[in-house]
Amino acid sequence: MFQQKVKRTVKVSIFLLTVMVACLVLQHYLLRNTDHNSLRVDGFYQEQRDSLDVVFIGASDIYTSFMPGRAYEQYGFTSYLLASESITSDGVKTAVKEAVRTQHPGMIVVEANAFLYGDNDNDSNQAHIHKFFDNLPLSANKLDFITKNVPVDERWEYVFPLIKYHSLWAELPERVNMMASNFTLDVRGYNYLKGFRTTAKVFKSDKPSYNNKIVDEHGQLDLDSKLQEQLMDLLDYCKQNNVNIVFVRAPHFVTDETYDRVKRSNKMASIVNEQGFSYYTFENDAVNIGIDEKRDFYNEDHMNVYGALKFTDYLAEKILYREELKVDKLTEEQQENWNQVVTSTNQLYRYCDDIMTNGKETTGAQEDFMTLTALDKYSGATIETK
Amino acid sequence: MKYPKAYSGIKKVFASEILNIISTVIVFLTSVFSVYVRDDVTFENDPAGFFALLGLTGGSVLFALIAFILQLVGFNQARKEERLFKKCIYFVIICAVCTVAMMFTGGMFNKICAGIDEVSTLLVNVYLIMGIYTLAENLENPSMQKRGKVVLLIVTILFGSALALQIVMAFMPEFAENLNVVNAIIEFVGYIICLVYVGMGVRMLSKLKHGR
Repeated sequence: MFQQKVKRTVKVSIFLLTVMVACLVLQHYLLRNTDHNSLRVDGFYQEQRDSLDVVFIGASDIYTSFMPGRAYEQYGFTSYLLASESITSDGVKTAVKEAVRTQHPGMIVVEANAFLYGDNDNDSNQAHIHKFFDNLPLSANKLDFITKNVPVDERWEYVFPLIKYHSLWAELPERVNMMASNFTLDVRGYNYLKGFRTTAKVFKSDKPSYNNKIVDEHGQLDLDSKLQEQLMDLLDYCKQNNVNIVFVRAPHFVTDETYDRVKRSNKMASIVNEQGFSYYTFENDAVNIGIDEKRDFYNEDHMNVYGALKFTDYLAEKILYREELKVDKLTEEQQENWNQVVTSTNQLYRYCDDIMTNGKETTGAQEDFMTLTALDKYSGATIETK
Repeated sequence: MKYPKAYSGIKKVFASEILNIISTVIVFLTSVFSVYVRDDVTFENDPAGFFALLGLTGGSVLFALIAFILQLVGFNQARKEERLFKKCIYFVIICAVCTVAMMFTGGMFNKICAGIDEVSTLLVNVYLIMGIYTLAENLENPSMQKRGKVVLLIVTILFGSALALQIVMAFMPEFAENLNVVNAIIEFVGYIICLVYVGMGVRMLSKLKHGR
């Protein structure tokens, strides 16, 4: 009788556990929106705890502009781009908290884009919210966001994304590359590009650039009131928790349509400075940094690898020398991993250079299976700046 | 009724549990040393410490490997007289596969393997205790049956707690180092309790073999 009861309990438990594990595996590898955002966020959580000197947070403006491999090679500090496409201001706040929770980095650098929109529509854009929050593991910070911002009937989707993406199986053949990338990242245990993503293309614009003009632009425009409130919340959190945070605005190909963002960036700089934090308006300094508007962008909002290389060197110097970043010593194993990151970053640069030099273009040169395979034939030697 | 094969098999499993405990103690001491005492030992700055840690790690792997082989052989012998031990073989193999997979993987896959490993360890112990309980029942030994129920309950609680800690560690990596130590202690206590019961089982069957 006793044996029968135990056997039945064991069988039921094994069945339930099997269902749970199957759901977890499906949710993590098959039925999820695997893209460069998920690979980037997953990769962040695979970094050894307290192993990063700097965590960069923001939208595509930062993950296409800063190359952690280059920064390590030339300036010796480790970093990661905890960034997501069109990240919301809530996403930035949560990412800062997650970076503090898991890494206690010497410095957090936030790219300002999420706070510079003319309205707060981006903050309620479901696609942009899901792109970041779906990929965060369950934690008090994620739950805090869910309980404060997500309607009750949608909350379970954020806890178990399988509920939202269960019908993705029909698209499986097209998603094999990303699924394979996700699995190989898991098996390897660390990623090669630390979140960097680019497009191999040289932007040819039919509109005039205002990059020369904005060097002397000091005009200001008010931030959206809700976004300003979010910014103040973030600054309060950083003050209360003694977080060493620096704000930056990456260079853009500024046109008359995007000129207002420059003024809002100037306004944000004054707010951030008033609160005692640093804000670097690199957008206004693009010309001084040496960003060539005819060669260094792949579209109005993003630099290609030529621009990213120049910006990485410039930003890394500012972080290291002006902000006096304290760099931690790495173990031998960590050094080996980072040397591999350097090699892959240099290979990616040459891969993109090769494509652009031949007048071709490719979207999404990133931490995926196909791109990494294509890098094999390129040299990983140091890139000399011209 | 005598159980010579079960006796011989469980004796080997008993020996393997002792080796497992030694291996767990070594892993525990190594983690305490490398986390709380010295976390910067390298070949260059402390060759003696480096080789000591290397030796301890190698020793724990060796003991775990011998324990694994002994477990398989032991359960294979014992299953000829009590079929519950056959189930132990399956879960011992699952544990081994998960342990190897955990060495070479990271991320979610690693966490899933850790969870399956923990559940399989629990099930090995559950079926082992149940097997000895069944033998005791066949031999009409009520005291062993009573102890078996208590031990099963305690072991389930302990290894269930270890599994819960694995889940907590997956969500809160900042506590992973400390929780790993707690986890090791819980598993250690679980092994000891299981070992005591297996030892009683060996004694029960030994009396039969020697006609006492």
